[in-house]
Amino acid sequence: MIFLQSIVNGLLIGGVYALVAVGLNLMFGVMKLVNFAHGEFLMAGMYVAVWLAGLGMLPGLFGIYWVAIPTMFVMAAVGFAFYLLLLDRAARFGESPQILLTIGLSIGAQGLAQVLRGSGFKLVPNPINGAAIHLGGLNLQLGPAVAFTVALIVTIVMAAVLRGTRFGKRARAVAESVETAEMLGVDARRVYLVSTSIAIGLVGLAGALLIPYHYTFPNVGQNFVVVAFLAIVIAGLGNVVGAVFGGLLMGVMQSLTASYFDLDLSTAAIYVVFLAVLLLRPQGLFTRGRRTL
Amino acid sequence: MRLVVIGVVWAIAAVAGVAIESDYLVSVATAMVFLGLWAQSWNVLSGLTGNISLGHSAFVAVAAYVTVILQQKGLSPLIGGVLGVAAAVVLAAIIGAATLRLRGPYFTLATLSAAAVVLSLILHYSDLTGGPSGIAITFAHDAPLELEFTNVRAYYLIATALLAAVTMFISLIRHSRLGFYVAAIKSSEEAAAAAGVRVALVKVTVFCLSAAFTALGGVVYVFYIGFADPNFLSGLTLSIQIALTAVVGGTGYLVGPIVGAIFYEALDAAANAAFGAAGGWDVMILGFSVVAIVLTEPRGLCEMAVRLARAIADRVQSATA
Repeated sequence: MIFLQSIVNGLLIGGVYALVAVGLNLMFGVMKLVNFAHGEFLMAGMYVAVWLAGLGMLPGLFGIYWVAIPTMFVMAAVGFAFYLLLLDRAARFGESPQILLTIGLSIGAQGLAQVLRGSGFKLVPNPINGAAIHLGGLNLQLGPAVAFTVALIVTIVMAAVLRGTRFGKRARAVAESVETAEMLGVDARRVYLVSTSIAIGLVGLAGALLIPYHYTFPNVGQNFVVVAFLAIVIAGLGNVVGAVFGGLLMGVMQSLTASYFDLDLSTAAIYVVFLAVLLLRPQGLFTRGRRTL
Repeated sequence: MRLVVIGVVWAIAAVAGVAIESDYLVSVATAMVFLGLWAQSWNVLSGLTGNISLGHSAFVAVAAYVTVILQQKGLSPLIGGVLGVAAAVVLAAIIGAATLRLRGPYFTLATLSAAAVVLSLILHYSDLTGGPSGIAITFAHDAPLELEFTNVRAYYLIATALLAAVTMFISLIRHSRLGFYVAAIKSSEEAAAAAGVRVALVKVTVFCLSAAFTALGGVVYVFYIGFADPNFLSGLTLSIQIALTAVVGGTGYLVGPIVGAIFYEALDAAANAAFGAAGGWDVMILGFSVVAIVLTEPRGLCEMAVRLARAIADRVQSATA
């Protein structure tokens, strides 16, 4: 039973990791950029959602979730500005400056959050926090369960968008080869712009789903984004749908090692698995050959 | 010639450090020197090879912890420090050999994870390391052989001497056989290998050198602070700080990381003076200034200064002509 419960806990924690990882991997897939500031966009999404929830909540157990959609759109707009103002300009300098730009933005945004909102931990009182459903001896925390469900829906939608829409086809073409895609008339910068907006919108959604049961504070993003980095490398960098499984896998591994070993070592275990994958199978577990997206 | 210049600058910095009366100013200067030393050491790896490491705090932590733990058991840090640096070099050889094939973000994420493993091991083996509460080093008297000084200026002097020595060493490396090998590898690994450079050996050597210098700073730093704090010494924050410092100054220049450290600590001190240390202003200004520098001149402050100097020289020339 402990085993099953750990698996379930892990899957539920993994839902948020998955939502963070999907956007991260979409950006890597099309732009070949690891966004080290991704965690700070999660943090920003959480602050936006906390602010919205503070304005008022709908009645009922799930009343706090009205903030999810507005937060997602606000953060998508932030992503739009992030691409136009920063990434687009840094692109001409190449890979290392882009990495450094996102690292600088990451710590700058942490400082900004502290300046604007203080370093205290924020939690809006709401009925989801601590609520659980019991299913045949298993205990399902309600907040993580909602996040997990949304993560699955987002995965299916993203997979459909990448396969079926014009944007999806262009994004896959750019991921395969920017030069060829541009020769065929695809506007790569527009694909980058849309991808960044989607990615930051999704991480904002993840933030809104977190706030019912997780504290909001300036460094909150770091805990999630590092795990999401590991998830996308394990899944295969650029493999968007794989990233979801990577995120869930990280959650399960964390939960299992925490149940059977020690919490400190659970972090170490994840990193060791990650390093092993990176060294032995750098294309990732869920990617065949060099195919991406 | 370069060595003489470095020596003279070091002598001036040392005399200035002793002459300054304010303990606060000395502490700012000491922070600059340690950060400069680490950024300079980081640059041996990342500046020369172009791969960004976000795991250098691991070498600071390993060397500091080995030295402090041995000191608690009665071994002088002068000997313990050598063992600490050796431990960091062994770690670097392992990480360096494992990450040989990795580039770009893969390399960065691998180094970041290696440091995270070191941090969680330090936190876990708390019998040895004190876990999250760390190890405090207490002393009341001067004991040079124990690296214990009641006057903080002593640590400033040691740190500046280390920084000068490392800088001299790097300036020698740049014009040595190893330096040319590394330059060849940076422009093209395949071409370098084809020309007979033993790429793997050179890359691991550079990694070990970089770790050794970083570790030296770690040994002295932990006695200066008097406290082995796991979350600082092996944290991601320190690794990021080291990398950004070198980049802000300019990785292509010998003085780049030192200029970066002066810039970083001066901004930090100014932000703290203006807004107080607790508000997050310092972190915000530093982070956004990195963004601004990357967008205007990704090669850093030194490159900006050189370009400015050239522009002025051109003006002067055209005015006199």
